Amino acid sequence: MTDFLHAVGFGLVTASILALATVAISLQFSVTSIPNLAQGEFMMMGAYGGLVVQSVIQNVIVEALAAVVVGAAVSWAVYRFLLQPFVRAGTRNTTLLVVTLGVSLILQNVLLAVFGGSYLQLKVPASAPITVGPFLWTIADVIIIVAALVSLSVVHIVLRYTKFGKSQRAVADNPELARVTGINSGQVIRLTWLWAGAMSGLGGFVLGAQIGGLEPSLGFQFLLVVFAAAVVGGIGQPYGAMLGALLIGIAMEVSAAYIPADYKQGVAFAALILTLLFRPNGLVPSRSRIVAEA
Amino acid sequence: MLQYIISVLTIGAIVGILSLGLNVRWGWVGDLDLAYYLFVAMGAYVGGALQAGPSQNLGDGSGWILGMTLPFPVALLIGGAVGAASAAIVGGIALFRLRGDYFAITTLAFTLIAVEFLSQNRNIFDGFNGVYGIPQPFESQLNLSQDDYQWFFLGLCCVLLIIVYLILNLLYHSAFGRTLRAVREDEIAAAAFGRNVYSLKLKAYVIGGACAGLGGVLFAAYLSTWNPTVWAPAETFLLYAGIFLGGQANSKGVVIGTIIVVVAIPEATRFLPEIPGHGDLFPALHLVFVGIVLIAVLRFRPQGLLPEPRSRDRDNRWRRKPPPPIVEAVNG
Repeated sequence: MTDFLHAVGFGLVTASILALATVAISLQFSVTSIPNLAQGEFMMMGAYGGLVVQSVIQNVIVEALAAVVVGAAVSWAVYRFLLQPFVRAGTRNTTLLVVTLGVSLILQNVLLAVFGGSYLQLKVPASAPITVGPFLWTIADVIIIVAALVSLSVVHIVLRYTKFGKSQRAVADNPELARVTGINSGQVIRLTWLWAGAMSGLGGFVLGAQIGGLEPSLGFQFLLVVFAAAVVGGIGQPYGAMLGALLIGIAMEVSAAYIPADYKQGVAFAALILTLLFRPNGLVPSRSRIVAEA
Repeated sequence: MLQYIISVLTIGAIVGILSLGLNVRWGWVGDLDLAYYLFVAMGAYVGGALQAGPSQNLGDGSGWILGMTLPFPVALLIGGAVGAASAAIVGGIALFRLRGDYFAITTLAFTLIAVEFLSQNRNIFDGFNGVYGIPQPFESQLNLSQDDYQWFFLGLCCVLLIIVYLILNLLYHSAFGRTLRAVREDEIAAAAFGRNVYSLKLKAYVIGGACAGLGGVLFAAYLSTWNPTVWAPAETFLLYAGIFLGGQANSKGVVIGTIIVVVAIPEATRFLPEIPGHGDLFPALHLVFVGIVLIAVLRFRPQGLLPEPRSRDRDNRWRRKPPPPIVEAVNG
């Protein structure tokens, strides 16, 4: 039982990291409906940003802020200069997916060219595991969970109680109608990319902090787990994304207590495939159409 | 130098076969399949193991299954069949309800599960070590010198490329090929005209899988080994870059485009001096360049270098010479 509870504790840490990235991709997808395969690279750009800052100032808060800023800047720039021209030209979504694949290839290999392919250590305040209730966490784990909770609360407050959140939900529901009612949907979309990038950057930084190091392809490997959480929760639904992240995170860590830990990701991918096949709208369904009607 | 050119051309012919198969899936019927190298790997593993002989038993249960010493043509056919069969399973599941982005992400998940499973399980295809010691096709029977054998292998790959090309060309212009393109253009309309979209898409997926399996056996024979590092998902992205550059659905175009992206661009940087301690630099820059080419093509020339030929109207002769007006005939 203790083992099980410890596994759930690790699951909560994984779920916190996942939640940052998953809520980011869901926000972005709900507003722009572009499936972004470059999100993992946004995470890594942020994380490497934090790593660079670490060589100058060793302060976790400053490093995390750097990750947020770099992630946001990269995400905004990719949308503004690469994706927006395609959207304006009326490109199909499947082609946009290929474009983001190209972006992912470019960013990942820019990181590889600059930093090399070997693991670079990301130092975080180390501590012996401490017992928090039934769980066993390190200081870093606690910081990760707190960071995720704070970010998700911000998401909730912005979506529910600000004008920006309201216009964001309006654009997600119907971009044309939103434009007609005087919402500057172009600006809403660009700010959404900025915001999603900020959360991705933070997600990448805490991912590196939990693993203890960074490698250029880490983000892409993690991305499919993020997709799994997003799909299980109901794609394009920020609240569903939180639920999906929680389920996938705990499922991965609890499964590792019973089957070889190498299959952790396989568990997430299997959940992704099964959800798409049997409950394609996820646990919290949205209105967008997933299954072909033909 | 000559040997080097021969080996480059050989790889070019092999990736040409691979790109033709992927083009059936994406170019003809419009399914963005990111699992393609999974089927290449299936063909390569099975075809390789069938030729390489039983694996050495190290006593810990590691090694590969299906170890036999079958002749190359048999292994080639079985490899193609295995590619087709595994495509039927994956496609049968993924195409059943999913389209577009969701289909693409599902196929990517299938690939990653397979990579994980085959890397970790040492008793199927020996985990990370993979299958090795795959003999060169017909080498022992032909008794050629090393140089002459290279020419022979290049010829073999080219002959197979031409055969695959001609078969696919026949299919493309057949009624079946036309129906596939109809499904690509408008799935709902095709279904309304009584076409079984699921079965058509699955057939295209299986044809692609067969090409992947064949190409995989050749690839494994060329490398004389096959392991999980060779079939990372990124390899499929390179084939897509080649297909978009060359021209989707145009067989000649995709072969040329893929050879440019997969072979010509990396080979062009081979002669640059290597920077000590930075071995990742040129391979990384190659992929950065491929990404830029991919995005630029999609933005400025989405039809590619050689666009798909416009389909001809079979009733064209009536347009050129309209039938005599009925009124005149009555008056006359």
